[in-house]
Amino acid sequence: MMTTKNNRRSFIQKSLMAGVASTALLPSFGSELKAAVDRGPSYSNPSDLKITGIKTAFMKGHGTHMFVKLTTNQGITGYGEAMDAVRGTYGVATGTEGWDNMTQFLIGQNPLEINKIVEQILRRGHFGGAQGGMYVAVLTGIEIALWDLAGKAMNQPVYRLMGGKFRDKIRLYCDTASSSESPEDMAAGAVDVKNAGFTAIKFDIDWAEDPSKQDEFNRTASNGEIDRMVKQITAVREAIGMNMDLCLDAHGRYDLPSGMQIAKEMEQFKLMFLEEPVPAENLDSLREITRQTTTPICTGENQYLAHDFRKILEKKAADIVMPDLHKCGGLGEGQRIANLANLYYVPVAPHMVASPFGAMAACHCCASISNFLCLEWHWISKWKQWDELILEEPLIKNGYIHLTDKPGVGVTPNEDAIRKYAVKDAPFF
Amino acid sequence: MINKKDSRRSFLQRGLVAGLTGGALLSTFGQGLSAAVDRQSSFSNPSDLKITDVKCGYVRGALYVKIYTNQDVWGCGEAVDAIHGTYHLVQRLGNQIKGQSPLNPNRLAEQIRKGAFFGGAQSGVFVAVLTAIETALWDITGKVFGVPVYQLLGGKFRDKIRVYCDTALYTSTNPTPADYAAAARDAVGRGYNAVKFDVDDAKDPNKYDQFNWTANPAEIDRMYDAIAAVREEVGPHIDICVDMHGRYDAVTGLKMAKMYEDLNLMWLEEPIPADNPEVYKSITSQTSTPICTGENVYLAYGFTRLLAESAVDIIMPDIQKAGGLGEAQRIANLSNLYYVPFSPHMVASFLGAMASCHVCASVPNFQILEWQIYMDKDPLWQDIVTYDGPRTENSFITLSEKPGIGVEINEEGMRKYAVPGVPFFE
Repeated sequence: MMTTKNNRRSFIQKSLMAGVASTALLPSFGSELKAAVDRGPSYSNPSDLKITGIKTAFMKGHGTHMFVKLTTNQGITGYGEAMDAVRGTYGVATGTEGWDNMTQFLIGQNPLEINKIVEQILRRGHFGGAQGGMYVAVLTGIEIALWDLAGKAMNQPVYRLMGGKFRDKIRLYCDTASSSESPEDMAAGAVDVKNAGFTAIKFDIDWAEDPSKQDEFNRTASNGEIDRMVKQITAVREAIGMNMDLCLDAHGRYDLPSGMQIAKEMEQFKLMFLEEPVPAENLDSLREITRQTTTPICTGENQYLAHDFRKILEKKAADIVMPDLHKCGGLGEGQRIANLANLYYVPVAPHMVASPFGAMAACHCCASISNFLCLEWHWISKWKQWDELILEEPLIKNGYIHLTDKPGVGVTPNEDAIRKYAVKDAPFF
Repeated sequence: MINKKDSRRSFLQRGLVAGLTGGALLSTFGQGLSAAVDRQSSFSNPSDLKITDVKCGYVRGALYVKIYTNQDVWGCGEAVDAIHGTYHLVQRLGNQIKGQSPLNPNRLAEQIRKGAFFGGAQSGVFVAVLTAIETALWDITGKVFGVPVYQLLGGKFRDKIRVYCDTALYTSTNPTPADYAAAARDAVGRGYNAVKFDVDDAKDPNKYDQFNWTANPAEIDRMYDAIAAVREEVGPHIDICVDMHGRYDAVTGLKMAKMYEDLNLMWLEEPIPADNPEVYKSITSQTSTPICTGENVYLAYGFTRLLAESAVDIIMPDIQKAGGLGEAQRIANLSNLYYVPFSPHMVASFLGAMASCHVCASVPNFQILEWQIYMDKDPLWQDIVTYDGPRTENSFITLSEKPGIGVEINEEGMRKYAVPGVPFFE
């Protein structure tokens, strides 16, 4: 049991005593505060909260998921999740397998200083790859766990610690992840998604096995391939009408002339966005496409930290940005990216392939920014399995996730369900 | 009295019961949680909290705002300089937010701004008034949730905020280099490890023209000699800043920046007016003296070109003017992407100073905050706010750990200094 010395009541009293006369207290807060302090929860003393351990678990879901668990000296546990660029990073977060230890210094630290800890982890990795990629993805899992911990310690949902919310529910688009079907099948699938309540849908348009593909390695799309795309999307647009938003994902597969042509061919469909027509590294080429087409161009899932988005925005290389909040540095960094984009009147439509826990974590960030557009949801073909991965009720209602008010991220990873899909021979907490 | 139905305990229970099994609850939170819920404070019920009133008062160059709610908790905010004559604007904006929850400061600020896109919301007076209101919202939110404002900004990087002493040695009295040295000696004697001096002087007897601000050799020598005397007095390790108040033209700004190079300044402030980033860039790129600007730049928008064009070495937004605490943090985070430090301008009361401290604590690239010598000397500054304890100690302010900002407007103490003819917290 916690001793009185460590409870929150004494935390508040400690700070109140420090130089405040009790008469000053009363006119500030009314007579109720003093009484409320006595009634205050003795659940935790945030200033004495310390991280005692960090563990990770790896799951196969949409590729590899890394779950992070932070334990503390007050019985509170924080969860985090990171995606995509975490495959095989088993030793990174926890400091085994010879990687320079990213997190050993976390043991004994107060987890409430989230932005400071993130900065410290980035600085430690200055020579170790912290400018992007896997290092930043692993950091992201830890960062989300810090927000979960801080929210639980202070009994607040994460959005409250991020400046409050602009909205109560988060609009999703359903990524069908299909590109190889016939126009008729694609259209039928689109209608199914519409009937399931979604207000926006995304299709892939790059198809590696397209019979019209002329070469295995180059990035040029032949007229046959482009024709295939147009036929598919014509059928889809007709089936769903103009009111449902439609996005296309080219997965950074094409070269400049092909990406340009595709973007222009798609103008007739009035897309919400065309994603990654060319690969992520050369923003000048992306900018050429963005400037020459009315199709909104979107990029960002392979960009890390606010620095990468600063480059995109300064060059005006894209119309919409899509950071992956489980990869780009975390929820705080996601908010900084969105605020930066807002200065250029660029909306944010985060890439999202995480479990429902990660989805809700993303929702706190999306709620906290003015220029949120919509959030990806990528599990239509494994919806039931997705729902299983948290302990709480399914999150999605009519194409939206309703923001929770529960402390921290507000939903709990279902460790038993996750264990069913655990990566073999990888850590599991 | 708040009735049981509306108490925070039931608010929490409602949230917890929705779909969470008891087993998961205990394993996540430990044994203490369900007992703690029973003990939970019924001080406020955040989900029913609403703004009921906004009152304001004016003292010299500052606007003080108090936002009241339906639950016996209120918030204080302050704005400076660009606030004269804004009583009715404060009332209008206050009416816009009545009935809303104060707990989403970023959203309310955006709402207020959007409501005046055609009414001046891009900068200046409107943004300054918004700043006071926005600040008060953070104060309320911190108080309601029992946390200092820095914790609502992602936590702190530091516990103490370094300040420099602006010596306020007004050039209108034509001080000599010896006067400058004496003022520096006094500031260092009080424990400050950084000092700032003005050098712009409209009444310089050597000045030929009232409107043109190209400095002649005598004016230039005066400006240089004053600071050389300071450097001589304080030695090489005390930081020195020089403020030209945006008065001079580009040729003079560049000349002074280069002349000051051997005095190793922390920065030269506003050598030219704030409006032209390209001209700043030409000065900044031609001198090793760090160039600083920002007190007359509003919102993060105002800083985008200065930073993207590498036009300045250091930025100094005024956190009581530039759009609020949330906006100030966004500005600091933006400048961090350019490795530019954040050294806010500050001429406010200790309420504004501590509000600034929460922001300064919350960002990695905070360098130093302004403090005015007269805040130590003039009793007005003690009278107008409530804060027990030392304000600066050896060039640092200790960050408050109290809920909200941690400093309160003292209406009674402030009343005698109130600007006459304007309602005072009525």
